[in-house]
Amino acid sequence: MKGCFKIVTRCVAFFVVFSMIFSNTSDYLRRPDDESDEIHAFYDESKDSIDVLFMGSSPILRGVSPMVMWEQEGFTSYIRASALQAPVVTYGLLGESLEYQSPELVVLSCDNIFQAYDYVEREGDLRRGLDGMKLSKYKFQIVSEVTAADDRQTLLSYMFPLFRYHERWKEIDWAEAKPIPLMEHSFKKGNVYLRGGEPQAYPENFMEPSGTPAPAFDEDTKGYMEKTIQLCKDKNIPVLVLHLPKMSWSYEQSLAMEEFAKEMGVDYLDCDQEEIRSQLNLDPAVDYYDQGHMNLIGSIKLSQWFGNYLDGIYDLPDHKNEEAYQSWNEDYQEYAQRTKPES
Amino acid sequence: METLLKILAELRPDVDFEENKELVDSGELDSFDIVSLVGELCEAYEIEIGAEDIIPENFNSVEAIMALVVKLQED
Amino acid sequence: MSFTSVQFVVFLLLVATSYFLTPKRYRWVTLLIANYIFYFFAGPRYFIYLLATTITIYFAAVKLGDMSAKNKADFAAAKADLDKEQKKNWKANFTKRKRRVLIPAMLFNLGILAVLKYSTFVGSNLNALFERLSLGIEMPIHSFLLPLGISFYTFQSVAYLIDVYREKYEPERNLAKLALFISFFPQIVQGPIGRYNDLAEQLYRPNSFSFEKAKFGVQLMLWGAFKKLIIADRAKVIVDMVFGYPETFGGTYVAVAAFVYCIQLYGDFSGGIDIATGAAQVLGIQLEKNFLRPYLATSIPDFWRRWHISLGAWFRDYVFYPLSLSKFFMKVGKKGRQVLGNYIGKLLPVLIPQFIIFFLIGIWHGAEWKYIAFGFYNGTLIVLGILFDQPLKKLIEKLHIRTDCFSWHLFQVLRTFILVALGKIITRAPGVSASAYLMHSMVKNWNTEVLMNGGLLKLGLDTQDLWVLLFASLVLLTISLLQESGVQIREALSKQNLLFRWIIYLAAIFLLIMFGVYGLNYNASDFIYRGF
Repeated sequence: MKGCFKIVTRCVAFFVVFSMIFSNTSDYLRRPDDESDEIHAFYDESKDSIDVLFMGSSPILRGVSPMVMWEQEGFTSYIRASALQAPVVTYGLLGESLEYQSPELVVLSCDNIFQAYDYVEREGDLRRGLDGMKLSKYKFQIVSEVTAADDRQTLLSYMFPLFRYHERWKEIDWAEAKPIPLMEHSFKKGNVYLRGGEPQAYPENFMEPSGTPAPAFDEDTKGYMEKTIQLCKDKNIPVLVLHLPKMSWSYEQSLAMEEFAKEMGVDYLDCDQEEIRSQLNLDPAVDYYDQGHMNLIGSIKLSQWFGNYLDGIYDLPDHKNEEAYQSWNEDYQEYAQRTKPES
Repeated sequence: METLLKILAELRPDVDFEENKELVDSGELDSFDIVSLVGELCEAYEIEIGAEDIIPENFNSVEAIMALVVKLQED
Repeated sequence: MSFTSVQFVVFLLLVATSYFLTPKRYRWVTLLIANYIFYFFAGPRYFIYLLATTITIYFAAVKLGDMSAKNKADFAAAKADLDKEQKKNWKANFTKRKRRVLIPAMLFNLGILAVLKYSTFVGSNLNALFERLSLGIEMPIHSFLLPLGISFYTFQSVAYLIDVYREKYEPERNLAKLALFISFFPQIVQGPIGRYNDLAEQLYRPNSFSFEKAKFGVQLMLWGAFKKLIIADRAKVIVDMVFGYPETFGGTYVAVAAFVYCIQLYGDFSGGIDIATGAAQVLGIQLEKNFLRPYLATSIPDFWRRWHISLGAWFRDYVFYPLSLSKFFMKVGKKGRQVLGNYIGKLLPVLIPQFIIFFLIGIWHGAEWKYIAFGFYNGTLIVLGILFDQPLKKLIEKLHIRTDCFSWHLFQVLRTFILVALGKIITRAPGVSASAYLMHSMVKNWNTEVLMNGGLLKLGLDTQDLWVLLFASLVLLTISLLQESGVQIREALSKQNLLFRWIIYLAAIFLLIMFGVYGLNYNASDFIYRGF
């Protein structure tokens, strides 16, 4: 019995040492990615402290700044969006988020409802949302969808990304290598801004009826959008489907989206619709990074208007002077510091 | 016994048959040697040795080989 | 389920746990179930072949056992009244009756193997022949997918049947137990081919968990994975490149590729065997040795005694001896001595079966002409070796070459390795004419400069990978040399301090994780932003 105890102790000790080295090695070989960092710094927010959750693709993480809205309206928000986020990832991340937070509102970008998602081609984009994600039934659900679509992918490599990035030992300069663990806390709350960019101009006849019908919805994508919205309905959380400014948007797409939102019984806000556009009053030559994304200046401008809009419609709380939320003020200081115009 | 030792000495002059008790297991005798040896034995003792008799235990030492020969002569 | 997959590790863990948790009496049943689950993963439709072999071999062996028992009793009763001639007849008669059971069962099982493995080859060659002769006949060709491990379990069970026929041991009278012997999962994929008298008892007895054995088993599995994932799968890139584009890479590249292919093949095969042996060891079962540092062999026969040992032994015991000791070859030997003189005549019953064996080993590797050429090549080398054995010895004596020194040993090893490597070109090239082309190009366009001027970087591996391959191969060589000189690596390791041992284990695991070739290629450009 004593020998048995010794063996078990040794095995456990070995496993502990192994796990420590494994996690450290993973941090060395991880592919650092600012979007992954932002998405997963979400875990650092105190339970039930977020009022508004944003989910979806890159226009949201470029264009919406939770810090600007905090400063102005006093409600808290977090963005868990990533470039070309797969619909199943949006669904899974939201499902997971709702186990940590009970928001007053969920804002969803659904522009990708017109496209089928190519899981084989989009591994890098999938991993932005998945690599740092904690294990949960949602993660398994997402990964099983991914591995079903692409049999070269394995569950294991999503659970332990080291198995995917092990070959990165070649890329690393070991003389200067250091572990780069996931970012723990975000002062931007999921926003990833970009400065500068290409000056844009509205295309001719922008957002005017063209006579060409909008492309059909992709059934898979639509299915996941519906499931995502259903998650919120189950918890009685209102949903706003949001379209952010984009030069390649059309009147017909806008109508189709509005129709979809109506069918689902949720709200819709289209920043390219005439009425909203005039309120937003963006300057394509200054506020856009490229044809589909805001730059830093644009995102601040947009968020000021948008925070006001949300607060007006959804009657969001103001925590600015609450003791428990003082870290948000500190984060805003940092945000303000970092986003100062470069001279 | 002497006939046997003579056959063995002719076959592999370099092996000490009287001392080595692991002729097959140690790899001293390979399959070619065995086949040549069996040919000689069959002729000298007028016996028939089949593939079923070729197991290491029957060829590991001079005594074993002799025992095999005696057994087959009796059959 | 690949041996180097995480699934296999998990499977083994589950099997080991359930095996040792099963009451002792039923442990073998757990093992049988595990085998069948493993086989099921490979493809449920192949089960029928495995079952057919198990059942036919079972009944044939039991029948043979019954016959022998009855014969023994009858013979003992009648013995006193028989003279020598009658005894002989009795025996011959009985052998004839036994063969009536043995031969159909063997033909059935080897026939399945032959049809599945060779029907395409035979069919397409016959069709080509018919076309030559413009006979206007075309045979329908059906190509089969080979059931997992069919040649291994067929050989293993046929050996069992022959041994029962030879009355080496009693047949197994429990069908489920025989099924277990035929299907043991670590060895069914690629061997080693087990012998009933060695393996069966280990499978049937209730093995108790031994931490020592489990530890050694896991160590061996790690070592096997090292050889396979770090060495073989990396070497494969170079080999595939050169042999895939023979026109582009001639000359020295062929030699490099042949050399690297030797490393790949050994790493892959012996690595797989190590994983199998290690997995069995975790369950307390010791499989037979299948490799004994073949590239340190001093001659071609020595090489074949060290390479895929269980297959060589199988052919020796069940084909070579029966052939060369058959009446026919004994007669050939006698005739040969009269005609060709004592020396060569005596060798005939050895040489001809030897050639047949190498032909069989050749086609065992695959149903292609190149494997027949490969068998022919090895057979020729061995026969030449035997024929020139005596004259060469005399020559060496005359020239006063010392043969009891390191340099001579090294020369023998290198010579054997080069011959083996040339043989490997035959099997790896796409066909017989391609290998002839490659060998010709190797000699004609020999240019050692490519080894220095970055030519090696054209072979699909970057500098870093080449270094890893080189370094890992040196580790393999060092370990092999240590083992050859009698060092028991795992035993020696277990005598070290805990800290050192753990460093070794952890280093092995993490080297494997980082430098193993597995999963998708990591291509940084797949991960850069492609559209925001």
